[in-house]
Amino acid sequence: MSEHRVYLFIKITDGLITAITTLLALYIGYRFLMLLAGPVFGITDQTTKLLYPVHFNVEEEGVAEFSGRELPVKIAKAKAFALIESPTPEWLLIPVKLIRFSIFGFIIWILLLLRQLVRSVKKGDPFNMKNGNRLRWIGFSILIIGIFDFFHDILLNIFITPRLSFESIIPKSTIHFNLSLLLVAMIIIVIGEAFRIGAEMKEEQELTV
Amino acid sequence: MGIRINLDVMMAKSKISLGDLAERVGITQANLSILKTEKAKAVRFSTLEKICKELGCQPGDILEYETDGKNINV
Repeated sequence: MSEHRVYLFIKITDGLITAITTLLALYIGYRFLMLLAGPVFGITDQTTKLLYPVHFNVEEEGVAEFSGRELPVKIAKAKAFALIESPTPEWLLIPVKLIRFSIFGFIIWILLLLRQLVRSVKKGDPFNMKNGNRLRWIGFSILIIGIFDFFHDILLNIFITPRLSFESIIPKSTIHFNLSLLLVAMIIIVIGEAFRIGAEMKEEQELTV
Repeated sequence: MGIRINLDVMMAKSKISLGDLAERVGITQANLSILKTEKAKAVRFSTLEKICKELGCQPGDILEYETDGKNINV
C-alpha cells in the first residue's frame, strides 16, 4: 500500500472513531440524564424498563436438510430477552443501570485512547512510551469491563431470574465470565509492555553517541 | 551523582569548536551536543576513541564519576 493510501486509511479510521465516540457519548449521556431525572430523583416519570437476556431449556424437534437428506435436529437451549415493564424497583434498576453505564464509560475511554493511538500513527511516531501506556490502559479497561459484566450477570441472576415465572419455560441462572475478553485484555497488555520496552530501546538508541 | 562529561573543558583546552570536533570525529553536531550536555545514555568506544584522538586526551579526562559531591576520576 502506498504512503498516501496508508495516510488516507488512518485519517478515515480517526474520523470513524471520533464519530462513534461522539455518538456513543451523546447517547449514554442522554440515557444517564434520564436515569437521574427518573428513578434517581423522581423528577419525571420517565419509563424505567429493564431488558435483559434470559436462558432457558426447551424441547423442540425439527429437521435439517443436507443434499436431499433430512437429519433430525433438536433445540435444547434457548436465549431470549426479558423485558420488565416499568416501574422496575429502584433498588434493582439503579445498580444494574450503573454497571451498564460504567461499562459504556469504559468503552468510550477505550475509544478515546484508540483515537490518540491512531493520531500518533498519523504523526509517524507510534513507538513511544505514551502509546505503551495507552495500550496498557486499554488492556486493563477491557479486563475491568469483563469483571463488571460478570457482576452484572451475578446481579441479574441472583435478584431477577429466581423471581421470573412463565407458563411454559423455566429460566436458568447462567453466570459466566467472558474468557475471550480476558484473553484479549491479556494480549493487549503484553503488546503494551512490548511497546514500552521498544520505546525505551529506541530512546536509548537515539541517545547513543 | 553519576557520570559527568567534561567535553566542554577539554574542547576549551584544545581550542576547538563543537562543529569542528564533530566533523573531525565523524558524527553530527547534534549528537556531539547530546554528549556535551550530558543527555547521552551511551557512548560507543569508537566515538570515544576518535574524540580522545582529536583532543589528545584520555577517556578519564572526558568522563568523570561523581558521587555525593566527591569527584572520582575514572
